[in-house]
Amino acid sequence: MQAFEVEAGSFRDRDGRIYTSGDRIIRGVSARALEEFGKLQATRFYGQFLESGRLVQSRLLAAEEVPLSADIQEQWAGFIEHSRIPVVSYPYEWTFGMLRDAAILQLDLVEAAILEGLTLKDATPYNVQFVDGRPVFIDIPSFETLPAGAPWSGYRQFCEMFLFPLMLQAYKGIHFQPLLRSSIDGIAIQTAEKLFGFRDRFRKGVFPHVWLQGKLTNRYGASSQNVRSELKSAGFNKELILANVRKMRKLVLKLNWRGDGSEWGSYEEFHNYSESDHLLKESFVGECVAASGAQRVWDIGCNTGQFSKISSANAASVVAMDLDHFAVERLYREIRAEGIKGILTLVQNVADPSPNWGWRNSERTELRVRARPDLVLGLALIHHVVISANIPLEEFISWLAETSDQLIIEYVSRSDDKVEALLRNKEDKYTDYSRQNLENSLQRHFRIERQLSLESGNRFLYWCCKPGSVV
Amino acid sequence: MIIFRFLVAASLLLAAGPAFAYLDPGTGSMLLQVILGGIAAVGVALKLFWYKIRIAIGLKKPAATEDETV
Repeated sequence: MQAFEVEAGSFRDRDGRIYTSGDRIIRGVSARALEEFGKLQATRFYGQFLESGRLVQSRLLAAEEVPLSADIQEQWAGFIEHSRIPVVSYPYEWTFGMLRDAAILQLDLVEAAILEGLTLKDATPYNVQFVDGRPVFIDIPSFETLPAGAPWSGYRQFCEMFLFPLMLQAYKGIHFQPLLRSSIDGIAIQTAEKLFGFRDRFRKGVFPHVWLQGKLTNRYGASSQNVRSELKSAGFNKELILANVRKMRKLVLKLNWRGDGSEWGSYEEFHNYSESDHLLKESFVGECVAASGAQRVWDIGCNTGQFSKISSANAASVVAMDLDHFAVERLYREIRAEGIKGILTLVQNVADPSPNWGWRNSERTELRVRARPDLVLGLALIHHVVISANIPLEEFISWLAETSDQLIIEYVSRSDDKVEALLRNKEDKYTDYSRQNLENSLQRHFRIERQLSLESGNRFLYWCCKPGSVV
Repeated sequence: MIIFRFLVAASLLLAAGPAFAYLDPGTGSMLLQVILGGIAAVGVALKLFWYKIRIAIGLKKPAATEDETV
């Protein structure tokens, strides 16, 4: 029997728990959740969303198919197996466009569910994942029967987890990722009220969803009245939920972010090396990725994603990450528009990566716990890590060696004008930043398999493998 | 419609005393859905409004439990 682990982030819903082993994801569900799953399967929209890939594939397991221990089997009324998401990601790693697309999926599902007598009991972006540049809803037990006269129960959570972050980005240019990364429940109404000033109330959606909701929350927060039952008696109905959900959808679609002030949004258009060097670099990376046999690649500092795309010709799953939000946003839009498969775009700063946090510090995990790569690309990156982020070179290489068995790394020499620009107004205390030091460090942790000097004489590429890893 | 919404919002804001937000079960957010619901919400808002007036003048006791009907 395979050893299954309890998924640490799946404890909030009392009606289910996730167990994982290798490529298998199995959800134990209560009798109530099992009944709701039956109702969900009987709806028309369930099949339609499955077919369009917007809902995770799920299958009820027969008793003899359940590969879990007897004591786990006793805890639950049934078991549902889900297809695996290649790389799990979190909203604080997404771009504006990703969060917006996830919001639209959430709203589309609420609308479709309400029309067939169901609803979604929550509205959290953690229930959405990205596969091939498209959002997929994964939390099947979120669907339940809509109680008569009930309001849209996920409305407030939708505001705090989707709408407020999107409005902050679109209206004020405030990046939402640090806010979502520091607060697992999103941006509270009271916080949003303070973040949006008086003038912002005239922007679409701010007055009702931020200001008025804030005031009503303050007024009715500890109310002893049973508002739910009052609403029911007053005739609250699903038409009202539909009206609100549709209006919200229009509002979300109108939110737009153009990414002013991005440093890297168009880096490729004015990179400082010649066209022939560019071609040399492309073919070196392409050949090494192909020869490496790596199926899971991380492209750290992906910028325009050019090398992510080259890698995805051979690797099944590429995570393209960069700290520049707008650079990643542009890549995401391109992947969506052109239907490029196999690449997940994430906003991620390698010098300050996603932590293990939440309940017991294990509810949300760092990226390499979720999906360890076989190969890391670090192209035109090391000068930013060592000089801008002030991480010692040996530290960086040993972290890479902990993370992956293979590495393709580019050294940008001190005479390159990108490095000169970084050092121009800094005291040069980066004595460890040299090609010799890098090679020594690489040899301590890896074996250098192949290397290339670009014609400019300023840039050097290395493909390295750990001794004993398959080449 | 805007004036109607304004009246409903104002009446809801004036109807209860200030409270502590950390206790909030999402009550304010539920009521907001009536204000934002547009045409579909008119009947519900009027009933809710009428209900609150009756409580205010002592003709009605506030509902206390989930199943209690008004």
